[in-house]
Amino acid sequence: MRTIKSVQDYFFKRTGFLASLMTFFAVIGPGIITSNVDNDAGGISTYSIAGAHFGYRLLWSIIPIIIILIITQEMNARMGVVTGKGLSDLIREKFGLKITFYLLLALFFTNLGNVMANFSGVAASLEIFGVSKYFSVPLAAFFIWWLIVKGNYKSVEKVFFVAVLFYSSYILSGFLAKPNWNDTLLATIKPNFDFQPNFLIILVGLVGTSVAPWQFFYLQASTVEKGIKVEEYKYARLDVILASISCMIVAYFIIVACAATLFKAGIRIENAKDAALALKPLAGKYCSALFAFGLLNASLFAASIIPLSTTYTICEGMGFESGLDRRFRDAPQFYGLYTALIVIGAGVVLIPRFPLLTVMVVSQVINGILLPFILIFMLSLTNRKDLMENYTNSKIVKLIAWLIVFVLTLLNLFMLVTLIFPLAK
Amino acid sequence: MSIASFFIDILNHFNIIPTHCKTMAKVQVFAYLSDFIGVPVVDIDNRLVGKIFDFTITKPEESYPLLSGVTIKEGAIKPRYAQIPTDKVATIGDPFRLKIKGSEIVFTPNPFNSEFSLRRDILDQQVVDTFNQKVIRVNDIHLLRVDNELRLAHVDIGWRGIVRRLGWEKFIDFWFKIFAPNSNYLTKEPLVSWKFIHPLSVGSRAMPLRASLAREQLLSIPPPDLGEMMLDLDLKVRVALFRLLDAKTKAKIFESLDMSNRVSILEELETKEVVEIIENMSPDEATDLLEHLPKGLVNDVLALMEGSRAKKLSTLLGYSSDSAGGIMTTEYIALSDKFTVAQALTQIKEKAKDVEFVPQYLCVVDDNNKLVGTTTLLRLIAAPPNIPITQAMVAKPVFVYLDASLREVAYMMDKYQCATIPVLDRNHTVHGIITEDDILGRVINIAWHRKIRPKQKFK
Repeated sequence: MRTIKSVQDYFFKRTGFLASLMTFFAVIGPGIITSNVDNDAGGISTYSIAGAHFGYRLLWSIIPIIIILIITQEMNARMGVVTGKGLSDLIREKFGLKITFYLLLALFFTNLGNVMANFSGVAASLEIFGVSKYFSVPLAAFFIWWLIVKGNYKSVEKVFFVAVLFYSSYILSGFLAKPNWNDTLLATIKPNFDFQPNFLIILVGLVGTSVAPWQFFYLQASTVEKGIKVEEYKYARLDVILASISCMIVAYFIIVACAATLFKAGIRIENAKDAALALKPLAGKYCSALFAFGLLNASLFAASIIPLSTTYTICEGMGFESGLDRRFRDAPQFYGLYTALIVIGAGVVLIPRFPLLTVMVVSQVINGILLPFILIFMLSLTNRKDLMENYTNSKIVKLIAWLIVFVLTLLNLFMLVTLIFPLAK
Repeated sequence: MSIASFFIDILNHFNIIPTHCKTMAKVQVFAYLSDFIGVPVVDIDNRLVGKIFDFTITKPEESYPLLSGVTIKEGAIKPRYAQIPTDKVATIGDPFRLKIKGSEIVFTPNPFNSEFSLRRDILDQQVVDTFNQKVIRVNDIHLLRVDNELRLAHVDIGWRGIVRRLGWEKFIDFWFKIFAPNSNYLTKEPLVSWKFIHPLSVGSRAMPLRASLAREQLLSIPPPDLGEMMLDLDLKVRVALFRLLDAKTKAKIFESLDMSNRVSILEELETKEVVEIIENMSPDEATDLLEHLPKGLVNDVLALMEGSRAKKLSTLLGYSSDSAGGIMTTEYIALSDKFTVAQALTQIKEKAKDVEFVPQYLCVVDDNNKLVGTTTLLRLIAAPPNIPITQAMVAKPVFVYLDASLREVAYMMDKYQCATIPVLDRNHTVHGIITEDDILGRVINIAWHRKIRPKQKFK
């Protein structure tokens, strides 16, 4: 007698190494893109300052940050695969409208700050090559708008993959800076701690720029959008793990490049642009140009993804019509928010004497307050049996996750205090 | 003049107080769920037992279902909940008064039981609005108050529902009444009647309970639109909703979806369901789908299918999908060249019973099934009944061979201005016909290099 199999049995017959590799390449993407957008203009500035001011002393923080990234982002990938829903959907459905609304409001403002930072990153990087920001920023804003509205996401994803490759320019500049590899490797595994406020601020900054609230929403949404099945979950996890490691390798080389040159020469910098300019006499014009090019790539990349991701997150959580296939009158909130994020984000960079630094501080403050809450929501959602079925958090993940929430909350509280009562100056 | 009297003047000036009174009067009939949540509940001795947390419904399939139970929450840090039937409620209002003693109530740490719950199954959830044919998110629930009963009337999907939930209603309404008293915000609240709402929460009892009602409502939506709507849902819900439909609608939805969406739904189904769907699809669409499925599945599907149909499909599968043989349909009517017009018409009447799609287009063949000519239904009706059919047909019709490319087919149909073209093998035996419908989609593919998806979504 013929036994009737379920349809799925026919689809997952492929086994063996080659078949697994093929599946992996089909599933890969969400993690890689998310993690690399994470190295945006703000991130590169922070890594540069860490290298320039403290040399190799902060290199050890890269490994704990990788662990934080893997543990937190794995939860998103898992939630996306198992529930098929975005993070804002789940928060709305399980915690109600009130919490969702204020959470998304905060997310909007902190992401707006991120967009501003990245447009100013575009301006700064092109100024190194002698392009006026009054030309570069409007052009970049238009390019981003055009790419998303006129292209389809599948082709945009390919553009993003190319953008990810350009991050290797930082690895190259790291080698061009000719660091002392013995010192470097030693500093990577040997924790070095200091209670000096400046040191702590940079340490908090390193963690803060690497673990941002928007990336949880984006990663989960794109996992859902990719339609990754529960059976393919292990590949999605591998994607997250490799992505977290690779993005921090980029960060590592930025710190190394600045430590080997700027720190040695005792040059103090304020942002990534200073770093690129200061590298020129010390490490050669190629190293400097690669550094500036990396900054441009990172800023453009982040400025294209963050506005769109924010818009989708908000529209889904609030139940507004969303999607680029809808006309303006059918989805006014969607297009309104998206346009506002790009226009305001790019516009303020062009306003002379705009207090960008103050705005960034406010945005960082919101970011710091938001992060623990979102992590707690994520943790509580992934603990729910009714939602996650057999994929709830294991005891070890739960323990590490709570530890991360605790440490991040502490670090963020510390950062808030220092931002409000600046100790450094 | 005091500030208070100044405000009263403003209110009088803008005619606000009377409208406010009117809404007060309306509250007697309609109320919102958000107005009840958190209202204190007292027992028969006027002792506080807790606050309202939720309502449950026993028969959500009705048009105005009765809220048959009230869930009370007690305690803040370690909350406990109790479900009480609404017939134990003495008065609805602030506070809610029960007919029973507080000591009789049993609290548990579980907020929901198996009953249909407003908070778990509707509020803040995605539901299908079968009236506007959209997937919507519920911001608030509009209740009908009849005597001492509450019934579910509408769901609120508008801005005002959001504002009310956030607790800013009085504040925002105040400014709207001053600056835009005729705005949509105040006058046209987007409420959707419960009878058009189909809840989607999977795992609760909502889906099967409302299935019969929902199916009727869902079926009133044209399948291609329904298919497009389903793309807005996440996969699990999409499959659950899909399962509610009958095989014919499923097949029609399938015909309108693109291949990747078809496969993603298929993977969640049972082989038997797949057979059912493919049986109800037109042979050319079914072939197209089968070509994209794993071989093992195709074999099993064909084995489970009714014999003649399976044979037809496996023949079609033998042709390459970008040739005339691959896209042709085998559901055509062939008439013998020995017939008179009257005989031909009788045969068409008989055949029309079991062929799903009767083309206006008819092939005239000899005893060896070789093409002699083609004709149309209209021409046969217009012809005198007693003449041989060979006098009411086109004798040397345009045709294509089985292995003709799609470009050739399109070219021939355009050149000779024919809406249908027969497909022959080298012996001129008829194997099928290609209609405009069959070729158009393929030509669009070739022209634009891809199929235009009904939705392109990015999140």
